Order: sequence, then C-alpha cells, then structure tokens
Amino acid sequence: MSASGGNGSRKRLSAAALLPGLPQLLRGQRRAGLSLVALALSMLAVLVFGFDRVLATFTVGRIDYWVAFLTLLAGLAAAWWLGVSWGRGSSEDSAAGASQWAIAWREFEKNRPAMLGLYLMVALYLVTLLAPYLTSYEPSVIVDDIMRVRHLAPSQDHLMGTDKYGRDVYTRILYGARISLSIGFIAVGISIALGTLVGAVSGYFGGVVDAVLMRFVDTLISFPRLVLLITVIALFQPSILVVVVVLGLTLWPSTARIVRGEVLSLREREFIEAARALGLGSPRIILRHIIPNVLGPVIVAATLGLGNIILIEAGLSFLGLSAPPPTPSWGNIITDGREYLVEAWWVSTFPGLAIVFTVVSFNLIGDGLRDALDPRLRV
Amino acid sequence: MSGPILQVENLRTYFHTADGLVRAVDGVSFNLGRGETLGIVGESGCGKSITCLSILRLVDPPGRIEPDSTIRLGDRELTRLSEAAMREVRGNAISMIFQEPMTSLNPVWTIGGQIAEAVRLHRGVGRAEGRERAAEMLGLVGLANPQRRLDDYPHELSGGMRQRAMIAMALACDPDVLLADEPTTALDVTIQAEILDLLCELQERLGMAMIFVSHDLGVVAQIADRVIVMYAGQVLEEGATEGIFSRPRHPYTEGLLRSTPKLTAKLPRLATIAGSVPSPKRWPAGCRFHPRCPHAWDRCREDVPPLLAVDQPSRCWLEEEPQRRTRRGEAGG
Amino acid sequence: MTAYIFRRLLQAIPLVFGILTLVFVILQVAPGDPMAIYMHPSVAPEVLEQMRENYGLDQPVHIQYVRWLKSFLSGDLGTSLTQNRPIAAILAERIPNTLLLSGTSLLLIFAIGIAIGIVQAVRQHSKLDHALTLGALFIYSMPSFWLGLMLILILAYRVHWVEWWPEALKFPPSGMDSVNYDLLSTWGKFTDRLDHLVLPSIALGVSSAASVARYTRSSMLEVIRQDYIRTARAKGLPERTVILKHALKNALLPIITLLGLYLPFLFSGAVLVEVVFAWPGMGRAIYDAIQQRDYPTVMATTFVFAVMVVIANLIADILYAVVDPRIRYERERR
Repeated sequence: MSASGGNGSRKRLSAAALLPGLPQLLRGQRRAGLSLVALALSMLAVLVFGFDRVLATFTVGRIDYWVAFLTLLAGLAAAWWLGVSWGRGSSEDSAAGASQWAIAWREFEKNRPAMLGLYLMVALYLVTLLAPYLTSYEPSVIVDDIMRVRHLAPSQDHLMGTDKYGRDVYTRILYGARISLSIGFIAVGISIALGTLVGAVSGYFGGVVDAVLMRFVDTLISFPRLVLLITVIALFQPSILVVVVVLGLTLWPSTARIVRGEVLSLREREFIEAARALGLGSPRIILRHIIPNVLGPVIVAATLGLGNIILIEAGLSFLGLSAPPPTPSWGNIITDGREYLVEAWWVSTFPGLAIVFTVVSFNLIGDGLRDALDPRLRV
Repeated sequence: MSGPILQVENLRTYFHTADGLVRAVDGVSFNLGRGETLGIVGESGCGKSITCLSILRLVDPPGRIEPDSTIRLGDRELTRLSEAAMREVRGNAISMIFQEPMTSLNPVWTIGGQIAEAVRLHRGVGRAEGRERAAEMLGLVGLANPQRRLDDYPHELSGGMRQRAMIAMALACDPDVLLADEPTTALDVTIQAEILDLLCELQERLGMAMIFVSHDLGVVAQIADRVIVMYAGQVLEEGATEGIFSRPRHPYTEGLLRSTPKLTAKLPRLATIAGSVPSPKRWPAGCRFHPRCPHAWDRCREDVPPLLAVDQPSRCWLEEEPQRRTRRGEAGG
Repeated sequence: MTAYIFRRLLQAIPLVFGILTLVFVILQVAPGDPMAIYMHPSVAPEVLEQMRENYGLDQPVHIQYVRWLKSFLSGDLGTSLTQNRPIAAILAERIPNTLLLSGTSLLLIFAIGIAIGIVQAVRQHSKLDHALTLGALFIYSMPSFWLGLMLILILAYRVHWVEWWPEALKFPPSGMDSVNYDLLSTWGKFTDRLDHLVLPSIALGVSSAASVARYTRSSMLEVIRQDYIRTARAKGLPERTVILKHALKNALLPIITLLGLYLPFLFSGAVLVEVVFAWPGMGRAIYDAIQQRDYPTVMATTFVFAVMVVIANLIADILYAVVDPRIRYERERR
C-alpha cells in the first residue's frame, strides 16, 4: 500500500469528505468502513429528522440541548476525522513493533461479540447525549390532561407508550439512561481507584497492613451488597450524590482482592527488585511500576463491574433509594409501571429491556477485554 | 506363534484443524507378534503417542483416523468396530499406560475403585470381587500391603507407586496387548529401572504383547525384541533390536544412537542431530528427514523413499545408492 | 479434620466482630443526632429521653460500642419502633421464609446450572452450546426484580387469557400461600407453598444459574482435557461414566466454594424479589423498615444477613474439605 503518492491520498481525502468510511470500504476494511459510515449516517439522520429540535437549542436555553448539540457536532467531526486519519495511519501501524496495548486491541478487534458490545455501548452513549434531539417529549413534565394521555399503548406517537401520568416512556428511558450510566461510571471510577490503591498497598507491603486491610475487605464482602447499600443510603437519605458515593465506597473490595493477588505475584519479579535496589521509594514503586502492570485485570474488572453496578443501581431505584421520583431512572420507571403491570405492561417492560441490553453490552466488552488482555490465554 | 496379534497397516491419523491439515501419523505399518515387545523410538512430536492412541481409537477431535487405515486385532478390524464394541476392546484386550503417573490417575477416586472399575466393567463381576481383583493386582505389581492401598487416593502414593498402580489397572483384565507410552520418562532413574524390570517380568509371566514407546534408546534396547524408528509421522527403519542398535541403516537412527550417552565410549561431547522435528503441518517434500540429513542429495528432496520389505528395512535412498554416503555423517555432530 | 473445622470457626469470629463494628460505625457516622434514628411519630419525647439514657448515648463512644457489642452478642437486637416487639422475635419469623426462598433458589441454581454447563462442555462449539451461551449472557444480565415482574405478568396474569394453557402452569402472583392455606391438608399445604415458590425462586435464581452454568462449562472443559479422563476412556468406560463419574466430581469441587460466593448475591436479590412477590422474608422486612423509618430494625436485619453469609461460607469451606480428598489430606498433614 503506497500511501506516499500525493494523488492517491488526495483522492482518498475527497472520498472521506464525501462520506467517512468510504475509502476504508473501498480498500476492503469492512469493519472500520461500515462503522464510520454508520456513525456519519446516524448523525446526519438526527440532523435531518430532528432539525426542529436542533433549532430549538438556541431558544430553549437548557443545558441538555446544548450537550446534544455539541455531541452532534463532535460525532460528525469524529466520523470525518477518523475517516481521514485511519486511512493514513493503517500502513505504518502494521509495520511498527506493536505495544502490549496495540496487541490487545488487535486481539479485541477480532472478537466479534466484544466488538458488537462496543458498538452497542457507543450507540448507547450517543443516544444518551442526543436524548433531547431524539424525542419531542419532555421526560418529567406532567401534562394537564392526564386522563386523556395516561397509559397509552405503544404507537407511532409514543414508541413505548405512556405511563400513569401520561409521560412518554421512550423519552423517560432515554433520559433515565443518563442517570443509570453516569451513576455507574462514576461509582465504578471511585471503586476501581480505591480498590486498586488498597490492593496495591496491601499486596506490596504485606504483613500487618495486608492483614488489617484484608480483614476489612472480608468484612465488607460478608454483607450482601444490596443490603448494606440500602441500609447506608436509607440512613443518609437517598440522593444521587449519596448513591454514587456509597456505591463507589462499597464496591471496591473485589477489585482490591484482584489487585492484591496480582501484586503478590509481581512483587517477587525482577523489575520490582531492581527498582527497590535503585533505592526508589515505595509510593513511587507502587505508582510507577506496580499499578501499570495490574491495569489489565483492573480494566476487565471495571467493565464487568459497570454491568453489575447498573443492575444494582436499577435495584436501588426500584426500591426508591436512588434518584428521587420525578427524575427518571430505569429502576424507578419500572416501579412506576408495577402498580398497573397488567393494564400497562409497556411501562415496566421497556426499561427492563434497556437494562438488559446495556448490561449485556458491558459484559460482552468485559469478556472480550479479558480474552484480549490475559496473556495466559494468548497463544 | 500363530501370526501377529496386532497388525497395523497404513495407519494415517490426521488432525483437521482450522489452520490446516496436520498429518501426525502418516502411513505407519507394523506387526506385533504374540508375547513380543515392540519398541517405538523417535524424538517427541514424531507421532509415537498418536500411533498408540489411534490403536485404541482415543485420538481427540479434530484428530481422525483416515479411511483405509487398518488396525487388526486377531481377526477383528478395529477401525470398523462400533463405538460400543471398541469400548469392549479398551482396557480389556488392549490396555494402555501413560507417561504421567501424576496426572493419569483420577485424584478424587481411590486407587482400588479405579482398578476395580475396569474389572467390573469387562468381567461383569460385583463390587467385592472387583475389589479382590484390585488387591490381587496391586500385589502383583509389587505394592506392599495391597489391601490397605485400595482405599488410598492417588496423591497419597509416590510417583513410582502410582505408575505401578497404573500398570495394575491396565493389566487387571489380562489384556493381549499393552501399550506403554513412555511409562518411565517422568520417573526418577532408579524408579525407572524398577518399573522396567516390573514390566519385563509381568510380560513374561502374563504372556502379553507390548508396544513400548520411548524417546530413550537405552530403555528401549533393554526391553524390546524389535524396534521401529519413527520420524515425522512415518516409520524410517524397522528391525530386531540387536540389528538396529549394532547396525543402524538409516541416517536418522545413526544420529539418534550417536546422541545417546554411553558409559563405555568416552566421547568429548554428545553428538546431536542438527535442526529439529519439522512442523507436522508442512512435512518436507521427498524424504522427510532430508533437511537434517548429512547425506542428502537431490533425489532426497524430490522423491519419497520406500520402506521395502526386507530384513531390516530403512526408508532411505542410501539403500539404493550406498555410494552416496558421505564421511560428513560419521564425523559430524 | 476436626482441627480444621475448629480453626475455620476461629477465623469466623473476628469477621463477626468486624461486621458488628461496621454496623456500629455506620450508625455513628450517619448524619445528625444518633437518636434521630429513633425519632419516629410513634415514639413519645419522654420515651426518647429515657432511651437516650438507656442506650447510654450520653456516654463516650467506646462505652457505647461495648454496650452495643454486648447486647447484640447476647441476641438482644433491640426493639422495633413500629411493631413494639423485640426485633429478634420479628426476624425469627422472617428468617425461615428467606431461607426457604433462597434454599429453593440455590437448589435450582445448582441443578439447572450444572446440568446446562455439562451439556455445553460435552457439546463444545456446537450450535446448542452457542445458543446456551448467548441465552446465559442475557439471563445473567437481567435484573431479578424485572424478571420477577415479567414472570408475574406472563405466568400469573396473561396466561389466564389463554384457553389452552394448562392449569398447573398458572402461578400465584404474590405471597407465600393462598388465603385458604390453613384449611388445606398437609399435602395441599405443601403443593400450595410450592406453587407460590416457583416464580420467586426462578426470578431470584436464574441469573446465578446462568453463571453457574458458565463456570461449570469452563471447569468441565478444563477437566476433560486432563490425562485421567484419557485413562478412564482407555479403560473402556462408556462416555456417560467418563463424564458423570470421572469428570464431574473433579469439575464440581471448585463449584462448592462458589456456594459461599452466591449466597450474599442471593440475599441481595432476595430483598428485591421479596418486595416484588410480597414474600414475607427478611428482605421484605428490611424494605418495610426503611419505608417506615424503623432504623433499629434495618440495622439488626443487616447484621443478621451478614452473619448468615459468614455461616454459609463456613459451611461451604467445611463441605469442600470433606469432599475433596486432597484437601483432607493436606489439612491432616499440616
């Protein structure tokens, strides 16, 4: 592939400008090409079909509209930019000696279910950010004429029907995704950071520090998670902040255990010995030499943990212990539908499906990452 | 002696993998007489173990015994038997012992139970009789206190004792043929000798035939009546033990012999055969040994030498053109 | 063996202390007056004052801690604010119900999970294997409470609209027994209870069953590759015996330790499933207590849940040691 010819690259550039992914498709890189085409086309579709709502951005003055607007621009820009830069980069990439992460990515790319999960996740996030452009209803506004619009079955106007207050379920699910996903992400972030640190310290120092920390971890793991969570949240009064912090603080022990195990085996390896012989301090050894080496299992744990946390958050909000009512979250939409389960099945059914697909996509990615990052499985 | 007990003819076992065809065993033929011990030698990866497993039809998928391979036990054609009939053969007419006594016994069942299992299956006897036979066998293979050993778990025995237990298990149904796949390789040298003696003695006493697979020529020289030398899924040379060891014909056999340490001769250092066994996915064209052969010439690269039915056949073009033998071969290494 | 059990028991003791301490700490760091958790419309201010003294809340923290330990360890879990009864008595009624539900689920989880895992391992890479893997992925990713609702919707309500649907496959939507339970014969009581157990135990158990299946599959695949399986085949044993006798026991041993891991998960699920199915267990109790701001009951229930997990882990470990001859051996030698 001679990318040097100025003529060829210009032609490719113009093809990419026409439709990102086209040059990749022409070269037979189906996966890269199709995903770029899909990204660009979906962005264009939003722009065309939701144009009135895009225009509304400038008059409504609400932040989610602006977020959606910026996402739209960023998505389009990303599609074009990736289309052009991938076209250039690919030839050098294969020649150069690949780093550990590049190898892992190549491995991951070959894993079809995992890639499907990745696409699902990207789609999910785009949908979440673009929510205001994807629906013409408001998630929490209750219209005056409730009796006329409540419990409408799914139809063209209301893709997933309406709930007991006449609110559009599809809209509530779109907006609910934000709560569920952002709580999940932040909580996982907290617990992964905390777990990695505790695990690394525990494994590195060993002895009393290890014993004390691990007994603490044992204690925390003995509690059924949800029971501990609802107890603490109930005591502190539910709010999104409390939920995020408490989730983050209660879910780290399993990460800590994984990291500790990895560190224990790392500690005896030569490069740690060498670092110690060089007189490096413990914090530096932990941060610079140990943590980068346990990153693989931690990333896997984080991805699988995300699915888990989304399930737990759904459970909490189902019990009324997460985001307080008018704010939609997948769990509390299900609760809303519970009373009228038989009459209006759609209210509870669709948010549940949203949870299932989200968790499935995270699990697929997590499994794929495990296969890609675990050198023991790589031949 | 009334004809061979086991006849293997043109045995081909191929693995149909996603990466292509692996011809692990590629046209192996030999006969095993009653009460005879046949040694199979060769480097690892040359198809010795797969040959044994093929005889019992225990090759795991994607491995498959190719059509028109024949394995005849007495008057039964094993490749055409139903799976049920084949199970009747396994552990009964033909038994096998494996290389790793540590992992070849099931860790969660007792020794006695594992031996009795085969007896009860093939002899249709009850629990008590099976147990009795197991104890008898354990005594036969020289375990002290066999009654007590019955209820031991494999991890409670040493490596040598486990291999004895494996032998007891294999011989419990008085097989006609015993396949011993590197039974001493994983053991300490002193224990190796004990197990070898035991196998020799039992074979004489029970009058069974045995195929003894090993990469260790010294061991094979001790135990075998006849030897076949395998390389790259084929038989390269075949003959009486005495002949193979004193007058090897094939350059590969010569190489193997020269790379075996001897107590008598004081060599400055051990000779080795250059290179290693090629990948079974791409056997070399012509003679499969030619890339490593010190005598190879054009013909070796193009035409496959035959294994002629003579006294000590050797699959080598030197048989036809002995003048091609170079001095390099002898001096090399 | 006895020594091992004894040692394992000793290890559990600090864990129970840790649990107690953690519950105490949570109470302490909860915002506001510690007494606030006892503030309740049904409690008069004078009583509150009296309680403050009784609980020694005017005392320093460490004294309070010791008192707390003493009362909990002696089985006095306090008094429910809403029911005016000792919490221990309330929980004594609820624990068997939760154990019944979780126990049934556990049976289901292991029976179904192991069976499916074996089938998948034996038929590795077949269409069936792929289909089951995919199915397990979805089931594993399902929230139990939602699955419960869907089961109620379909198997308790919708099926009544379908004429040909067999009566035996219509299940009650909630509760532990029918209104006429007390009038039923012993057998009738049994089947009635079973009928009520079906949906909640499925809702509670399937996701864990999916994960057990996954675990069993990989464990079996690992075992099937082992030399002793080849030995078993070389003996001429039928494939059935090879799989069910020689492979399964080896594959199942590590799964026993999973028992201890699934139980906390199961108890978590029980809270949600008991709420969905109005099942009068501990989960329902803690939910109701939260709704009614009956915090002493919440704390006590949390504590009991955790202790049950510790006990379950203990049982799982001992079971493992009993079943695996290698462990038994190592332990004896030590």
